[in-house]
Amino acid sequence: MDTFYEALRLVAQPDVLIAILLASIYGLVVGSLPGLSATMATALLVPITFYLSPIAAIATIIAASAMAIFSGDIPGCLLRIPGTPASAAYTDEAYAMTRKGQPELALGICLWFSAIGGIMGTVSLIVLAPPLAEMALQFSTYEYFWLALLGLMCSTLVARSSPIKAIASMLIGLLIACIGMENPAGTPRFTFGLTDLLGGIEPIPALVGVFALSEVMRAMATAEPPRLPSRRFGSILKGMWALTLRYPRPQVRGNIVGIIIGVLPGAGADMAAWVSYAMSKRLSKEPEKFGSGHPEGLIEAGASNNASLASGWVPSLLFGIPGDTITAIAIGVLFMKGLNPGPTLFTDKASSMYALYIIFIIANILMIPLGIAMIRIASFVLRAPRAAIMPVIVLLCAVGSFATGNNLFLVVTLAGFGVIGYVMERNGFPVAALVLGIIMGTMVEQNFVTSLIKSDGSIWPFFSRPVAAVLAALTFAALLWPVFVWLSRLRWRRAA
Amino acid sequence: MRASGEGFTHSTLFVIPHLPMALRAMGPFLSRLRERSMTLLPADQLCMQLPDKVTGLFLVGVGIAAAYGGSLQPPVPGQQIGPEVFPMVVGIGLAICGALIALGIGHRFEEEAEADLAAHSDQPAPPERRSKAAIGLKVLLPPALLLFYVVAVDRLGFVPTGAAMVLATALALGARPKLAIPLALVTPVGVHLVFYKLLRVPLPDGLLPMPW
Repeated sequence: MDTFYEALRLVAQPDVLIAILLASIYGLVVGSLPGLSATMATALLVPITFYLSPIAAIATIIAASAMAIFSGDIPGCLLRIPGTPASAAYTDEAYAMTRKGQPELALGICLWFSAIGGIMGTVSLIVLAPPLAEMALQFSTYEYFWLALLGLMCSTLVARSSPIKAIASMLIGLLIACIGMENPAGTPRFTFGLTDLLGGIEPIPALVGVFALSEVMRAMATAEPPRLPSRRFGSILKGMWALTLRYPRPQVRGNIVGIIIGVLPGAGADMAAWVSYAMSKRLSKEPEKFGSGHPEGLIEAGASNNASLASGWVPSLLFGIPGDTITAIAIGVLFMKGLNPGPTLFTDKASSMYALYIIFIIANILMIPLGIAMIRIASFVLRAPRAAIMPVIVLLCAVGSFATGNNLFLVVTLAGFGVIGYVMERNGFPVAALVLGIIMGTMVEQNFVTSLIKSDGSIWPFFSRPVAAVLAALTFAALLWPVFVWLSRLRWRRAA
Repeated sequence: MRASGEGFTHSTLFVIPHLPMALRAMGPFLSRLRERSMTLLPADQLCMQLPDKVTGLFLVGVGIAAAYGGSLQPPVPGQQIGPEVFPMVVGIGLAICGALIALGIGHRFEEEAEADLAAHSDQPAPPERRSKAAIGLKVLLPPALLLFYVVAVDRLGFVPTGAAMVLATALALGARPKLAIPLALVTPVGVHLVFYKLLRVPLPDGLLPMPW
């Protein structure tokens, strides 16, 4: 109980509370702008977190990402343009509701069930983390190697692109992580004689380049999204309680699916929303109503993506293996702030962990009033022309990357990764897998090489330890899954 | 990686005008090939989209180079396993993936995902009639501006450099001067205030030191 009070004291600091409030507003605004994703909102925040206390830094990331995932639904509902990829799965459904003259209902569902989903995800984090931490204490390098690889494989599975291109993206990321002196021999590797590369590629400018700069580049080549007609909204939360009672099952299912997908390393909110929407349609009693503005799928998927956001922190905090791209960024911040992820975090820094839970709950409750305010001013915010927003983002990218190390080479890194991200995205190579590869590369290599040295070059111990064997089986299953899908489709087509 | 990516676009841009001449000489086989390549690269598509064969073979090259470069790493004395193992494993894996991509394996997954996404979102298609090269140059503007920042910021100072970047980006996105100029005057000063004053990032003063 003392730890809990200590955590409350940590959260009640004025800097933390201000950070939560400002980050929430920031997340709501950025998430609602089409093309600016929750990951990008988080990546641009990182340089600022450098200068905050550890708890305030984590609080900004939690608050901004939760808000951005919700507010991505707003342009989806009103314009049929998803603000973040996590909203894409149910944009049609929400827009159909708006066309039927019920935009309040659509936005209300997104808001209310997002908040509930977020809180359920937090509960899962509280319940799941301690027992898993105990298990994680037994892990050796073999298990960590498989776990990291499993996370990378999952990120390729969920990429909604060619699985081979996704794996290639991940391998490119691993290769980029090879650059620098942080390798088993401590000799410069792939540095091409450049002193700036000796320290390796900094992940944060790379992330900002891939997620933010390439978005600006894309804006250069696409037309401006249509303006939002201004309209007045009725009560947003009206009828939500009735819907909560009417659709208990989709809601619970959405939360559970979201939690499971979030806990899987590598799979995040986008995937949770797609899976939950599809599941809702398949298991519904009225599947024919889907797509015509039916609340059921919206409830399930809206809850699911926010639930996965919180549970995505489980593998990140326990193993340092990101649950999705947002937690991948968060892990970097955790390391920077001396809260190194790992099972001991829950014993040594228990009060910080409780503080993190409290921040999650506060952010999800705060989402409702701030979300309503955001919906009310949405037509105003969404009227900001792209030509006014993108230049600011370019400048923030430059300053933010420079600030991570006060080194101009980081801005070069940013520019390079902007181009890489843009070219990859254009050619169907998922960039999330690339980023996870860059971030986890050192960890995968260290555990791989240490394990090989321990076993004298034999690969047998990678499979002979029980937990390692299970993780290895899961990794290979993830690798072979696309082949299985392809074969079963082939058989199905032959039968038809 | 970056330089070679650009190299591909330039070489495709360079080759396309010369294709018909070569085709007349090389007969119907190539014209069939050209039809195929045209279906892969419709004229209205945005730049930097390359056929899978090109990206795949490029990755094979990168993978082999990485594996070879890795194998050149000096070993750790007295140990079998050193810094060479991981790049070799990853490089070989990448080369295999590149070969599969070049052969078009797994392409169907991509088409399905695209169709799914197209059905779910309503991104307006670009109504542009500009040439591909023009769009390509515009796309490369943001990274080019960042390189300009790297070169110029120490001499000009943060505020003038930032103002130039904001102005260029805004105008490229079609902003009227009425919006672009005030934006270029206000944004760098605001960013400087937050990052220099509040966050203490050492942004260079250059020609125009700020009063704080």
